[in-house]
Amino acid sequence: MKKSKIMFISVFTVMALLLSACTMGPRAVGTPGLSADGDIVYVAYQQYVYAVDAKTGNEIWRFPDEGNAQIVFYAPPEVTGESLFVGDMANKFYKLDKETGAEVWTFSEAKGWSIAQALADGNVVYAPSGDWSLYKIDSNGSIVWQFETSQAIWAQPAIAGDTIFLGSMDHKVYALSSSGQLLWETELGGAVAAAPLFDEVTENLYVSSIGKEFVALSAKNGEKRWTLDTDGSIWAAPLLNEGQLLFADETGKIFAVNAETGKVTWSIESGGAVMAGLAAIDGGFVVVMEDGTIRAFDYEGNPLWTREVDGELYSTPVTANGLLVIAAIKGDNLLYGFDGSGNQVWSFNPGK
Amino acid sequence: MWDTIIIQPFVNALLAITLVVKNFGVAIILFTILIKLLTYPLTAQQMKATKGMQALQEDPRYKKIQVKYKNDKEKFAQEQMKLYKELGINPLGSCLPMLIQFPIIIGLYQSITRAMAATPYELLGLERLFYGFLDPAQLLPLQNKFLWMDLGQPERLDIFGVAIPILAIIVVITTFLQSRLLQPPTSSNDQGAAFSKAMGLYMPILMGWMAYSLASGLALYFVVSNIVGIAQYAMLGRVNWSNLFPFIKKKEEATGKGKAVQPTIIEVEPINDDEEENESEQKKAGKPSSRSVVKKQRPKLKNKRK
Repeated sequence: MKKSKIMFISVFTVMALLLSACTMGPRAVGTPGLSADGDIVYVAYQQYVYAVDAKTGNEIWRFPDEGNAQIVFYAPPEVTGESLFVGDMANKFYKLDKETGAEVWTFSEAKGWSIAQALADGNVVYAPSGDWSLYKIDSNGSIVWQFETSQAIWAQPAIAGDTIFLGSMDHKVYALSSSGQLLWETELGGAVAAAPLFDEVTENLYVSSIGKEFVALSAKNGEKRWTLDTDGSIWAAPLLNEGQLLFADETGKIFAVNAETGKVTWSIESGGAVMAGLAAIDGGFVVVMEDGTIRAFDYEGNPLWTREVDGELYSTPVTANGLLVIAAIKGDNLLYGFDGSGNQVWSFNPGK
Repeated sequence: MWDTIIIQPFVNALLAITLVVKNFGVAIILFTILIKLLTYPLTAQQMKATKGMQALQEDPRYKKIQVKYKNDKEKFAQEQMKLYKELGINPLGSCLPMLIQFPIIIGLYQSITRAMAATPYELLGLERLFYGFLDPAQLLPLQNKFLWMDLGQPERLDIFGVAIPILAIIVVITTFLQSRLLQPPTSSNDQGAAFSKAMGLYMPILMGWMAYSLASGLALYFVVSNIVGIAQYAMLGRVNWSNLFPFIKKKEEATGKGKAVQPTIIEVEPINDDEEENESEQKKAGKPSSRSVVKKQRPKLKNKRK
């Protein structure tokens, strides 16, 4: 064989390998999207959405049947009634049968990735997208309206009556009518990556940003009622317990704040970087840290127990069947189930 | 270590440019040009060394020692080093600049990828790369809309309902132009020419595929990098326009400007210690020497131009 032919074949082989390498693997790196409904835990991670039995940690189903390297899931699934809604990183948004994982319909009109959890309300679902828009989708998977912001939407919307509250990475919080009309908008000091929380008692909307601030807005007109400056960015929604707001900033500082006045009741250092939201357990709450540490506190800020898992923790934990479920990356397992005393009951590794 | 030395300074430079120009697409273009300008001395040095090596390959003395010491690698290396010194060639002159440039190019690519954080996890990583003089709250997330593109998504332009990957097409064209224009004029039997030909064919396909499937911010970087690369080589006089426009070659040949140099034929009598030893043994045995056989096959040592 001529040298030139050997050269052509060699170069072709190297190029073919490079090409195949370029098409492999997810196009972005994300963290598991976790949610729960009854005794079932749902987790969206990489090429699949998994339904896991919270009693045993066994897989019930996965969607899709065959994974595709180009289609990855990181948005927490939204579960309601008989349905599960989830978006992927290939600009598709799906309605699945929550019992079987069978696809009911696919919405393909968005042009951006799904990072945020959708919000189901009756027969409609609000799907935020990385293409800067919030889509209202009817029960058949058809678009009702689209509201465009000035940046990607990474936060789940909130709803109170007929008003939809939306935080955007464009540093703004929007209030929309059920017909998609803008009611008000308020600018914050940074991008809003955490879902807003509406409090029926105070009629405040609590929002936070990566601009190191936690803000209470009037749900009626968006006026700022109080602002609390923090040392680090806030990446997740707060926990509301009997008029007390609980949240952690990226530095790991946990705040307990009076929801009405914004006054800090107490604050403690959790001991590690925190990106996830706090999760309520019996008699207190847990905080999960980037380094794999899980710490439980009572509502006075007193420590209850501390555990560690292999891996890094970025997803807000959920409770199902009385168990606390934690999602980890870069570790041995994807999910861990703990009882109220912090004893590990099961772990889940989906394999391939 | 890699992040601290390469990625962090690159990302912060990219972010600082974005802060000034208020557009991430423009920042990618300016940052790519800036890095290319900063590495220009290395490119020039590499080109100079490559040119020197090419000249060496054509030097009659080099060809002579190649033949003369074909069975004595040590002696060949010594003679080659002498020739390097004589011609003022640094044998590592083309490798070193390339080795220095390589991490810079990889760092440039990675810093653009990192700056286009597409998930909260990636944004967290980006936020932690910020130097103190930049405020993440003010800058993040970066404005990723540029012209018709979302820089974080693969690019397609909708023309009459058909999604056309314009940027990927431009990447293919500019990569093809770059490899074609930089291809040195060599004989068709040359192994290096075969390699260049193969690369010239596959590289545009590879780069085009990457531009088609990866975020358009990276495709934008490929285009700018290719164009600046061609411009730099043109400034160094290393662009062979005749590869693209054959009529230039014909015109140059007609005017005598670019007249092709006839190959120099070197005829050498191989001097080999082993052969000499064999020769004396053969003489003793009354057999004809191997040298005399060679002499019959080849004309006497002299340089001549055909």
